Amino acid sequence: MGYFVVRGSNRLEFNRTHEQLAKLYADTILTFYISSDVKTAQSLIGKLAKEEVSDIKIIEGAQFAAHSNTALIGQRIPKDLYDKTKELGRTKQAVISWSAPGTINVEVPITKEGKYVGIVDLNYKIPKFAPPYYVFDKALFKIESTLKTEPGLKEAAAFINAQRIELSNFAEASKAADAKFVRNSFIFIFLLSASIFALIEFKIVNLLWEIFFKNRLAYGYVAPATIGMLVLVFFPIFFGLVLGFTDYSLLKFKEPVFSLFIGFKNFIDILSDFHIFSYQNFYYTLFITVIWTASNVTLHVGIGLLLAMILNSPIVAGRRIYRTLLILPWAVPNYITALIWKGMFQRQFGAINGLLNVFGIPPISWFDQPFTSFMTNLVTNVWLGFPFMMVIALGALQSIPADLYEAADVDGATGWQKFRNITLPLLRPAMTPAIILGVVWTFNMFNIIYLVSGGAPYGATDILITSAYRWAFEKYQYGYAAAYSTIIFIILAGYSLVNMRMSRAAESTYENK
Amino acid sequence: MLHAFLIFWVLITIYPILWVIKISFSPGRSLISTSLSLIPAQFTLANFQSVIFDRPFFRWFLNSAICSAGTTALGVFLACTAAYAYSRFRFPGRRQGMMAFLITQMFPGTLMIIPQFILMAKLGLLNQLVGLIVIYSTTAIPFCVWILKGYFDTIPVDLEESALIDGASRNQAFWYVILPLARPAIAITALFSFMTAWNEYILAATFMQSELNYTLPVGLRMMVGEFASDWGLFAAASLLISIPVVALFMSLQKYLISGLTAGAVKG
Repeated sequence: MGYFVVRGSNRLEFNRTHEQLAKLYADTILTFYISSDVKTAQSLIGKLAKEEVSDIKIIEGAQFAAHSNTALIGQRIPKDLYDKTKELGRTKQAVISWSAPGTINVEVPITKEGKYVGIVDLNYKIPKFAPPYYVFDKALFKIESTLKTEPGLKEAAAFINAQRIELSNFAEASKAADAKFVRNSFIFIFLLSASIFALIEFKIVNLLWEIFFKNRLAYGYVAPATIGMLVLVFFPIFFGLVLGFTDYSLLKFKEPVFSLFIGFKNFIDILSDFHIFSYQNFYYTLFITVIWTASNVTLHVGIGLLLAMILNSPIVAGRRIYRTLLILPWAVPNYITALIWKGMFQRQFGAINGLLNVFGIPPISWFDQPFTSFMTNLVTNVWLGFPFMMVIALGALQSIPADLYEAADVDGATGWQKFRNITLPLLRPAMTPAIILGVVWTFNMFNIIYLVSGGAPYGATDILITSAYRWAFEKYQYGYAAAYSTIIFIILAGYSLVNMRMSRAAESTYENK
Repeated sequence: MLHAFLIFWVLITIYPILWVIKISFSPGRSLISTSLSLIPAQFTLANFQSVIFDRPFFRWFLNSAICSAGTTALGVFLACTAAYAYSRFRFPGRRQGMMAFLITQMFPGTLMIIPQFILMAKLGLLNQLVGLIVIYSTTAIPFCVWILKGYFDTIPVDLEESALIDGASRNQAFWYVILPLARPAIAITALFSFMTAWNEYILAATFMQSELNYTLPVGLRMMVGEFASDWGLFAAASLLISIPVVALFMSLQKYLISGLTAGAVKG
């Protein structure tokens, strides 16, 4: 008699192969399921009972497959432990891995008299934001106590116990690193207090206090928003900037950030890569981003202005209905828009190819070529973005006094002259800030690129921000991604500075007279 | 001829929406039809039933509603007070403050997630709606302050001055004189705060860790993950998620034109 186990998971999915194998070979199936979610555990057991699998059978010499996510997920464990377990995994000892965000998966082979008889597959859901070593310790303890109660699994229990001891050694090392970080923080605070004390001695604090007191009402009004921004926006930005100078990645998650300082290496790596014909290259992506931004903003403003002028002209009846309908794309959540258009550009069944079909044009595989893929993103974002510019232009147009046009008519000006000399200059104060904002938003337009083309093919249509995102959340290189995003920020900040110098538009946005 | 162009453009604008409506009422994997028709070949409510009853949809809806309402309240409060100060007062740090707000728009938001995640965890606000509300409010601030300040700038200072002369305090002038006059701009601020919270996916997906605490966008994404090609379900869910925010947007859209440009145009 031996044991064969059906794997369970938090989402009530059974591993089909195991289940089929179990039905073929097993007399009894035993499931261990540990979860912090009692309801799910109960329903899983209920499901098993319904299926009436209750017998176990020996499977001799069965290899257990490494958990499919091990290669990636294993990076969450302290590196040395992971290497060890991976190595051990080949010789049929336990592999501990992180199977899904918030869950640990443990596979323990069961041996009886030195012979391998099957595996125990367990899931453990981790509590909120606990340090990895603490979590593993708890998980292993629970597993060990469960195994101990089953006769025939005592060997496995002993093995788990050995793992726990090894892990606690790593825990000690982690705790030491934590303690060091705390100590450094205290030193920093002490130095900070000392410098404040010095400031007081030099009377600067008195001066600051005077200014503060004199303007206390203003500061009072500004305080809630500013504090919120400081804590939740500026601090993360600062932290992100610092991250760019480190080697932080998923592999090194537990180590204090400052120990990974590598200076400008990330920045040099990004900026000195001159293989510009590769889709992953920074300069290629920058090029795509600039083209993306320019084409989008041009189309947004062009179409928006055109529609605004039509809607503003006196000959259009039913203007309100048109305006209401034309604003609709702005109201729809943009990730939904992205997914809708993705469906519409689908090769076989999408509406776009259906339309082309009506004109006798063969269906296009939109996401297979960089150019057509870029077009899908462009069309979606133009659809999404023209209402904003249209509304701004409309408002600005409506505030241009009609007598100006009348005077121009008296002087015999043509339509084009009126446009160039009256409309455009008077539109500028309203449109310029909108365009600046539009450029920044489009430059960082993540949702459309990520959801419509997904960067297909092979990252050819990725813009800078989706590229940075992939580095952070698909390749887990947080330091590199932070450096990447710092560069994006510098580009945009530089652009805004240049813009402000040239047009003083920000002044007119925020100043009145 | 102008009408023709307008009608053409309106068609382009609303076709995708009508297409989604059609798909949501069509059974199963209805992408399997190259017909451009907007009438479903077979009419069914099965998609809607599946979306609502096979998942904790009502719970997600409630979460999104609470989150968005909270964000609106908090966001409007924060933006109004700050915008008033930037409009009416002159104080050291004023210009830098406004510049700083503008700059925060430029930093790629998706990459502040990790620091924000750690911060929320330390504050114990992970997996809590309050955490989301707080972050969404601060994200919406720069844009709202821009609009509100522009609008406040167009309200003549004399109104407050007469109130102050009559013995009101600054606070009272703010609450009882200025705010009622700024209603269009406040409506827009509220609308954008609401939309920010209702439509936001990435932060919610990162911070909310148990299925019952998800907001609607996260729930939707879960569905698209499970049923990658079941466009009927996706369409039905999209409609249900979009209707509240689109309805709100449409009812407040008359303020958009006046409020968005009031301050931006010198006059």
